[in-house]
Amino acid sequence: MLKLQFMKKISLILAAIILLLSVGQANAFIDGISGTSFQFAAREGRLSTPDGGNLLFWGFADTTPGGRASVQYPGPTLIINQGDTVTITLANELKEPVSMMFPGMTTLSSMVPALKQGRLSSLVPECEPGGTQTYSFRADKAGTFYYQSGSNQAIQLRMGLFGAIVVRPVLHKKLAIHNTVPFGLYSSTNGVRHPQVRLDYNNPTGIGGVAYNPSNSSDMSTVYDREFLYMVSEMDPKFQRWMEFEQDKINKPFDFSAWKANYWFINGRNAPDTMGMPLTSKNGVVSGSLQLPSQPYNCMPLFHPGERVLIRIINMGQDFHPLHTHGNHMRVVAEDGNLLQSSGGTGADLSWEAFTVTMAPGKTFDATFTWSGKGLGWDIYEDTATFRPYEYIADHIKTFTPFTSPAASGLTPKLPPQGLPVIMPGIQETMAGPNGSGSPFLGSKEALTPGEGGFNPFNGFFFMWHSHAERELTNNDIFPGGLLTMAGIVPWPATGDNLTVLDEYMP
Amino acid sequence: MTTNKLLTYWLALALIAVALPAAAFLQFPYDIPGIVDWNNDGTATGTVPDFIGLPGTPAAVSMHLAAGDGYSKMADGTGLYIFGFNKGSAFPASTFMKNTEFRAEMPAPTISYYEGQEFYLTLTNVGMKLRPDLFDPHSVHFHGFPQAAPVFDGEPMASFGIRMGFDLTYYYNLVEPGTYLYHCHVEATEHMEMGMLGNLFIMPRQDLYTRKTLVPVSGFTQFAYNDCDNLPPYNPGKTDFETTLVTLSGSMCGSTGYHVQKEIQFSDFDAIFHQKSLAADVLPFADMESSHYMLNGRGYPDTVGASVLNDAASIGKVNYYSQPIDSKVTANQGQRILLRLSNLSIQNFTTLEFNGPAFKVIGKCAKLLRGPDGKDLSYSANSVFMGPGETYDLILDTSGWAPGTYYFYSRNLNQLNNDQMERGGAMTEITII
Ligand SMILES: [Cu+2]
Ligand SMILES: [Cu+2]
Repeated sequence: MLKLQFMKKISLILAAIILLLSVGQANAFIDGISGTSFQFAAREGRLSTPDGGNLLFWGFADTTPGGRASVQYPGPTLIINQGDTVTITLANELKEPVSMMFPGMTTLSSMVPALKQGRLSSLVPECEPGGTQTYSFRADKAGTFYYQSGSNQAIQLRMGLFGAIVVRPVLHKKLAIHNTVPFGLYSSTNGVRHPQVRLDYNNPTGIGGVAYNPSNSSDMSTVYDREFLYMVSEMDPKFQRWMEFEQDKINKPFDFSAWKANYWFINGRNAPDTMGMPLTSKNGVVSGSLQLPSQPYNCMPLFHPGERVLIRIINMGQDFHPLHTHGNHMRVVAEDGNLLQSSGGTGADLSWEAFTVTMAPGKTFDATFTWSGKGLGWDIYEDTATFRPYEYIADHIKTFTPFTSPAASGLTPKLPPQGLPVIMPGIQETMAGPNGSGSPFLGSKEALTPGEGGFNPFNGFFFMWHSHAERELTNNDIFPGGLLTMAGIVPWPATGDNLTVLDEYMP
Repeated sequence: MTTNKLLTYWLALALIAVALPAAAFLQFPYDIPGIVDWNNDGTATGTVPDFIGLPGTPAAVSMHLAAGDGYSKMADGTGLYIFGFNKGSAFPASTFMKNTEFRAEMPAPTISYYEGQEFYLTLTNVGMKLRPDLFDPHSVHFHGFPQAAPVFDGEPMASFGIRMGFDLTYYYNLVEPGTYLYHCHVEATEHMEMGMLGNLFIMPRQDLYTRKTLVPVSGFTQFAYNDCDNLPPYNPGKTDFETTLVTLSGSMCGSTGYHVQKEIQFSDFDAIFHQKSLAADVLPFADMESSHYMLNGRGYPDTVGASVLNDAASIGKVNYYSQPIDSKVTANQGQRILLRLSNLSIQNFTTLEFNGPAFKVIGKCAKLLRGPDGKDLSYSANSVFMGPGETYDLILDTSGWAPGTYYFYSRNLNQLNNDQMERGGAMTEITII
């Protein structure tokens, strides 16, 4: 059943995206906070869901001078450098003790668990209500990690006390290997062959990075042009309400055997809010998604054909989630912050490809993704003159002659040769979605039924990246929503193919 | 049916009657070769050339699917309303609707072709006979298709679904062999729960190469993937291979060879959801709980039985086989079996276990388990854990196995029931003679 209400909602959100795109705030790197010394507070907050509801959560706030200062879900993403020693002073504004732990990091502060009345209270020293506690760790390894409360985890992790950690490798942007990429079957405007993958890593004017230290100058297994975070979590609204209104463990205990998720989040938001603009704060000026004050992170992967994207996947929920990428396979290059290599120096030689990756609770994956349209069998640009960057040469200027059915027409050509192998149905015969351009071709636009489309300002190709446990595409009984976002292939600027040109959508 | 609903029904039928003539845009309405300009020379000869000169393997293939509703019969006897696909290739446009409506199959007809073939898939939305109030579009999502384009991806946010009474043709250049799956992506949670799911796999060009050269690899002429290192590509016109003289070789050459293959798709139904759908009630997404666990649309013991004949005569349908695909595998001792597994549940993970000797997991998500430098990443196992939207390829080498009946079944104990009926669910038999 079509939910017009959702379409209305999505219209609002996508209108916000267009605003976002027109002001160019989509970054090549993951949004987060950097440094080696932070002040955090653990406190209560409220998050909004696209069905008009809101839920109580517990989260971390970055109270470091100059920080966002407000509590958020998930906690601030820490972006730190390999080898750094990081110190976090936590102030507890909740009514029960909390703590912070950093799986995969080398913890330097005490690892003595906290006991209360002879029972385990926290896996690490904890912070009493109203008090403070300092934690420190060294990031010895590059990769994708997370932090979380070590206290009363069955409650506190369901409430949202966690956040992502991205550790940049020592060699991030330091190896000049951009020019050693072998050429593939891809071309450019001027006939110069480009590599199959853009790999803008350490291009002096480029934007790319690397997820793990390359083993040698030709190891490109984790080099990328843009990176995106996919931090997944879920909530049972019954539990969140019990925490808010009851919390009476003696007389009205919560039945944990009946815990059942009905909200699913990517980076703390449910679809379609995942595709809204991020909430950004610069020099004390807050802009972006002001309607989501405690959910600052969006998830809107945008990239050009041929670029290699790094997806940092973290499952902070208690359920398995199968992440399916429309458009192409991912290549999983690391798990739990470990490069998939048979020995040091081989690069990700044990990496594997998948169109669906099952995210187990507490696991992290790093996966690369590239899309060029190679081998589709038709020219996605439908033009007759120039090659586009990373265009697949074998499909260039291909045309097809449409015929009617043999019984009806005796094989009379129906239309002059066209770029698409089939005849498109009329617009009244289809029901199109908000991310269509009306054209099957990349960078082109055609008429849509009034009221459809409109949320594809660059006439790109959109691909849904979502949980394939499709019940998770709902927001508390309302379809669609949940664990879903649209990845957009943004055509290269039409004139020229200067790899260093940054178009207006993606700086 | 209320008067109001009946009125809507007849209005819907009227709409279909008016809409059908517009379907003359169909390019590939039948499984009749001959109407494709496959080599772009601007002429259609009336016969599609045989692909790389192999008789019976046309360079372009087509299928015509209907998308609509139907009725399934579970192993415990429960009848459940379904949405689904069924094949209509044999019916010309004039009688297509009449012959295909209310005949949805679960799972959908298996799509299986060779790497290098071009595939035209026409989809006609024949409407919902028992839900005349519904005007849902439908689509085909070719799940896992590499380097896809939205226009043929069937995902309605980025492209579109086809409305009731109309049709559209999808085009796929089948460049990568492997085990995929397909499903309707419109209102995905609802339409997939209702049964719009199907098996899909592409056989590798190594099969055609051995057919062409008449030189088997390690005794095999059929393979799950291109597993030899020096297999030549097709020539640009796809009239032959670039070279047919080489002897195939490589460290993994022949490792995916098999004698018998079977596609097995795990899925489940929540009976209450289906009942509410039929009653046009509010759909319970939040409270969904599966009641019937299935392989290829049937619970055990139906998985190894004959085609499920629905007693749809009461609604005017004769010879309606709602669940035509069994999951039974039979092989001679010493033969190799390829199982193409997929999970299309919308909420359940499953671990499928085998009570015989270890098998080899050789593929995942339509990719040979091989590292980027060619390293063998295949492994031996007795069970395989599979999430929704994942596929796996297993090779069972039956050399030395005692003849008898082996079982392949869900190790998730809650998936071994057909609702209240025990000794059922996601289970099938592999018989070694
Ligand atoms: Cu999908
Ligand atoms: Cu899918």
